[in-house]
Amino acid sequence: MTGRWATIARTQARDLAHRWVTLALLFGLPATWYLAERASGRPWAIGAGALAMGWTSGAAALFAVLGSRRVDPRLVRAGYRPVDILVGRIVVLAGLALATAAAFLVLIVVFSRPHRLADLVLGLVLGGLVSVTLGWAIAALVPHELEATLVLIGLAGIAPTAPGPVGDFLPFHPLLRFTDVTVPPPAALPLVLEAVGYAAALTGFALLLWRRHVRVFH
Amino acid sequence: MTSPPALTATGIGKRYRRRVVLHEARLAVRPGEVVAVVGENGSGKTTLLRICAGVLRPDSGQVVRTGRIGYCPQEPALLDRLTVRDHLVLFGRAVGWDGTRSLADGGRILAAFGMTGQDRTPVRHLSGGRRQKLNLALALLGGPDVLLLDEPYQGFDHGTYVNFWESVAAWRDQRKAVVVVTHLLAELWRADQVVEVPG
Repeated sequence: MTGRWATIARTQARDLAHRWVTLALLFGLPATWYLAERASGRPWAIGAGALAMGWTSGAAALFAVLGSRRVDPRLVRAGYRPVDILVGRIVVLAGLALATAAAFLVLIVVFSRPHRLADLVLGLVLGGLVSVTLGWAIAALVPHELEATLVLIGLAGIAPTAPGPVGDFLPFHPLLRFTDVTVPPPAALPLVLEAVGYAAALTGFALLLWRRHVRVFH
Repeated sequence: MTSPPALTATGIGKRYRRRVVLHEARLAVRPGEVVAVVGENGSGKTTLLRICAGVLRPDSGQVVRTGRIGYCPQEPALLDRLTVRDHLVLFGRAVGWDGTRSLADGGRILAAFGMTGQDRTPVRHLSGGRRQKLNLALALLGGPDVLLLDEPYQGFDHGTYVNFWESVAAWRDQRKAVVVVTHLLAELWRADQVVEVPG
């Protein structure tokens, strides 16, 4: 890896590697939620755990961006392009979200032996990607830890109960729909397109807003 | 013959909500010149320097820069869990250097300020003075032409403080344009020009 974005990615990875508690919570929180719901016999245990995984991945992205908000303008002043920082960081955070999704998938397969494995994989993978871009976009829009976290909690909290027309357009919809085993299987393609479109739109939105915080005025 | 300014800020205005922080502020620094920016607390010295560095947009006026800028913010903007090495590599890459060169040059700069053997120490375990030394070293990495230093000596011990001002003189000899925000009036004799930012 020789590009500047790769240096940012390595830096982000090293920073995360020192955060053992964070890494443990990324997996531990959704796993605990899933296992608790499952122990209570709830049919939506998988969906609940998947939503928690989306929330933790989004929170990791949110705090990664907000934790660097004083350094990032300086990096741009020093010579990085904002897009270098965005790409390098998203690569690592998305990789972390996918690793969390893979570990969570193994847990679900072991304990629940789901029939719709492909849906589950799609839900967790796409949900992880949307969550990372959502976390970044919220951090760019609301650059304060507490307020940004509350917005993310609000979006995750409302996702399972929002009425159809609204719920279908919320960012966690593809994740919930793919992982909800209490309803009939969804048509995959529209949901995949929705998730990819959401992730792309959120990335563009985040870049647009976040560039305002880090740009150098000539 | 006098060199043209490496950095010129003219007619700079900045307000935060209703409070006017800067009004028609100006600053010019030439290669081989040291400019001290002084003023009371809250007078807008840091704001002026941030505008000169390009990390803050002025409401009015313009800044013209030639050459590369090295900016040392007042509060060290560092990543707490990363080591000194990590920071040198990260900022060295910004100017196109590989890790080896960044570590070698960064190590030399830090050694000049009396900081050695801390390469693998996470920043959060450094004292305030050492964090400030790293903060300053990152601004110097890549040999910038214009140095914008916002009270860069905070937390320095006496020896490093003396070293710092000797370094300022050396940078002047190297034809760098140096702007130092300071509130230490005893050091103003070291500057070629003093710019007062009225409160």
